[in-house]
Amino acid sequence: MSFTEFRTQYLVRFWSPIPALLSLGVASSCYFAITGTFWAVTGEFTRWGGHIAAWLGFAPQQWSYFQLIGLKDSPLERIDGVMIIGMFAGALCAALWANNVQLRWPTSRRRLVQGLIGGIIAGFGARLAMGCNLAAFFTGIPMFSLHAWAFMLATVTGAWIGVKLCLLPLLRTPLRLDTVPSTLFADTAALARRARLQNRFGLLIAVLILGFAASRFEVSLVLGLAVLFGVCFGAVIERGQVCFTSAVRDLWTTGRTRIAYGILLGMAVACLGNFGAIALGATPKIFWMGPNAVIGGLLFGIGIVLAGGCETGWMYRAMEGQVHFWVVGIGNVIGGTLVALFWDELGGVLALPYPKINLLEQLGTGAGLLASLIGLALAAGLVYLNARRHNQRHTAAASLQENLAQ
Amino acid sequence: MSRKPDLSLDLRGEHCPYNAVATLEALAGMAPGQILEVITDCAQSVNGIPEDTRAKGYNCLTVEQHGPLFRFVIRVPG
Repeated sequence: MSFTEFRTQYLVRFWSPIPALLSLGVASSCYFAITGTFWAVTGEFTRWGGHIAAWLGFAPQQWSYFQLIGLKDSPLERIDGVMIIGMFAGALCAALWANNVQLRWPTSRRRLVQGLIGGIIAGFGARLAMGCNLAAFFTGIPMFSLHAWAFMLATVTGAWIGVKLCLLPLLRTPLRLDTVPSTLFADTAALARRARLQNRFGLLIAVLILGFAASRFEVSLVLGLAVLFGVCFGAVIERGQVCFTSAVRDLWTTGRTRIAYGILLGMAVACLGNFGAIALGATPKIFWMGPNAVIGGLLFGIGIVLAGGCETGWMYRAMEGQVHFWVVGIGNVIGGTLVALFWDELGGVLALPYPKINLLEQLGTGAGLLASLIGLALAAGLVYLNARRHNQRHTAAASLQENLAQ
Repeated sequence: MSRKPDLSLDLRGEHCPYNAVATLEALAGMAPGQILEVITDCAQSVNGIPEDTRAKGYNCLTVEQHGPLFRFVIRVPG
């Protein structure tokens, strides 16, 4: 295979989301085994909110939420912090090498407001439940924490409400239809020039992030590896366009299945990997199975659908230059920080009085694993039935139309 | 396959789910045999638009990637 073929096949063409999600499942297990923590992002975004609050003269170190999740040092000394820097760099590199970075402006100001509000609701819901589509979902269920199951189901329910809101006439823009084919693709020479420029920028980012990883290896092995894992996570979610929002939302819009199957398979693989890591002595991260997981999941589901992307979704889209998702990211940080600010009131009632349920302890080691895998298989069955429901409805409508036409 | 599309739908700047929803709405208003061209600048639509249109019985004929722009050609069957 020549380099040009390789580039077209792997660097430019998008990857199929199912293998991408399987590899993310494997990588997230390795990450847990090595770092002792899960692949997660919103906790760190909330810490950024804490740093900003500190610059503004507040004392977030004394807020109970930050005593819970920690607010020591700077992002450059924290596993989550350097991993996220790696993710941004990995996604940016992947997008540049595909010639896919461009400032993309939203169609209206209304969309930006929608993105900000959606981002705030999603960030708030995620932190209330102690995780987002990662820690309370994709990497939470493989921790065998019951709260992640509640969060996942509540998120799917919230997404239904989100879809209803999203399709309100207020949030629709008129279709821009034309009878003349688009002339946007005429200038192929300009496209090739762009591609060369973006390749070089991509190379520069790659060199910079490797340099950064080297500097973190100087501090500790785990910190250096966290950067490299972040680069992989970021590159794979961009290349596979791994959109958790689409997985839950499009159950309700069009009955899509592919990404949902991929996520469930990825979690099944991670369940096995994490099970091994826990058997070798790693401590799983378990959180309260309280109303916070359900309310948080509902809000998260509504928020991500309104915003058009969840935490990982806005990260890679922001790197592709989609301005809308910069705003969603800012919303996320605001939402997470609000939870931190009001944690004494919220957590004291909704989370802390409730038990942390570890399925491996509750049901027994083997039965806990088996129950998780059966649960994932059942979820896949529901996704299948849901798609059939959508397509049957379509077929029924189509045959009715045919009958009327005859 | 070089037949000129009958309609061209410009979705640049829109994010999901509006891309897929708008595409299906445009297709619903077209006559059998007609061809729709869709332009988006949201990479996610590369997964969404072909899957959704095929599931609804339309023929998604091509998916093209031109740097940051994506072009789909979809035919209404019949």
